[in-house]
Amino acid sequence: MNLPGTWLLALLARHLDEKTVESILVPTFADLQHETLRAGTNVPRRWVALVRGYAAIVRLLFGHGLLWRSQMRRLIGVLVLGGVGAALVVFLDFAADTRVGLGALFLVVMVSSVVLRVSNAGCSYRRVFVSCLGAGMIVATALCVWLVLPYNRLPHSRYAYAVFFVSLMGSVGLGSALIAAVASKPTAGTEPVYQRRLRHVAIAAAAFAACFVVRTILGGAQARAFWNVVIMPTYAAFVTFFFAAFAIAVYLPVMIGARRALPRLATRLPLAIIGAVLFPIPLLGIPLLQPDSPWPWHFYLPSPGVLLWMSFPYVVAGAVLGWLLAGRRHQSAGAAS
Amino acid sequence: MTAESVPTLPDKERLILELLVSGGTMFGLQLVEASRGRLKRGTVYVTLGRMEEKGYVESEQEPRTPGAIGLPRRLYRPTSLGERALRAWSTLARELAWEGRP
Repeated sequence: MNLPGTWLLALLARHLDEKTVESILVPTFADLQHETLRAGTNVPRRWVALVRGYAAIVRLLFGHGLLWRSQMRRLIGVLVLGGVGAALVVFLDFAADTRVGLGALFLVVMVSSVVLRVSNAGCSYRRVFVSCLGAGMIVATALCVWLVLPYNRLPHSRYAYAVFFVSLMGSVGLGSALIAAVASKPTAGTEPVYQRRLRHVAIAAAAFAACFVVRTILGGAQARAFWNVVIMPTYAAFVTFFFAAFAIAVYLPVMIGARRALPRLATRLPLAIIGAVLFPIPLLGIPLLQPDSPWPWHFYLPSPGVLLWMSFPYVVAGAVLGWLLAGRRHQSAGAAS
Repeated sequence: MTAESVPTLPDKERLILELLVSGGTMFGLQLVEASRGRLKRGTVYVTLGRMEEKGYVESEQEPRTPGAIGLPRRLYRPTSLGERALRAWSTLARELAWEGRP
């Protein structure tokens, strides 16, 4: 039986100290569950119990500042970073300028540096630099190839791609050096469980594909319902494969690095948030690769609503990957002891 | 005894002690209901936790019956220090009220 508040309590318990959980949170949630159970099958009474119980929890979290204690403060910091990233995405929609667009790529640098630094990063400078450089180069190459090959019939100069590719590589190198300089520490940890990680990536890719299918079918239901349904299975398989390869090459190192570097934050929610923030960012790079033509820009970023709709699968897949890659804090603490 | 070490008894803590002394062992929610709106759900446990640190109350998990579901609630009861603090505070309040008479 799934009692009310079980998930929320488990979530909060990961980020608050044991004493607060035992003396304040558990009795509050116990009251919520007890009242709900006492209501039995009386639906109105059950709803009243739920509303009163959750209102007490909200009052506890916000009124008494429980949210601002230690670990929760870091979690909120990550949420704020995600909000800044989202604001930048919306801003990009209104400012059709490549220089502004480059800021989106550096958002990754800022987010990674701040999060890794604040969270006591455990990787050496060389390792951080090489990992970031490798991941960034793969991102840039994948995006360029992805755009040149399927869209080369469009009136775009390949020279423009080459010039932008070089400048992108320069940005990647600079960004990697900045991240490494800010976030690196002399010690490093090791934890290879590659098979499990790859399986998690496949699950995240499937989540992406599922969201993509739902989004496309719903989005094009009025215009081309028949064709959408016909091509969806093959297209979903394609995007799953593409996204899995993309995630393994690019995001997996980032997420694993974040997990290693965030020993106290290596819980499911923070990494899910980091994944949800990081995954949509390559969307922003697509218009940057086509500086001479306005159509991709207008195709991908016509309005904040469309952009959010487009980035939805990436957000979900990133969150799923982060969630799956995270370890259980209590287990790791138990293993350490 | 310095001013910092003198035990204090704010209104909510005094109310909780009064309820516990008169009613015996109680759950947090029973305290809220008995206070007639003066104590709030959820936040009552913040006050109770603080009182437990001061040594005014002690708590234990409710005994679990077979087949019970849901999280166990906590039962609170006053300690002897809590009862003495309440008595001293009541005496002080009476004395002050007496001296304050015209």
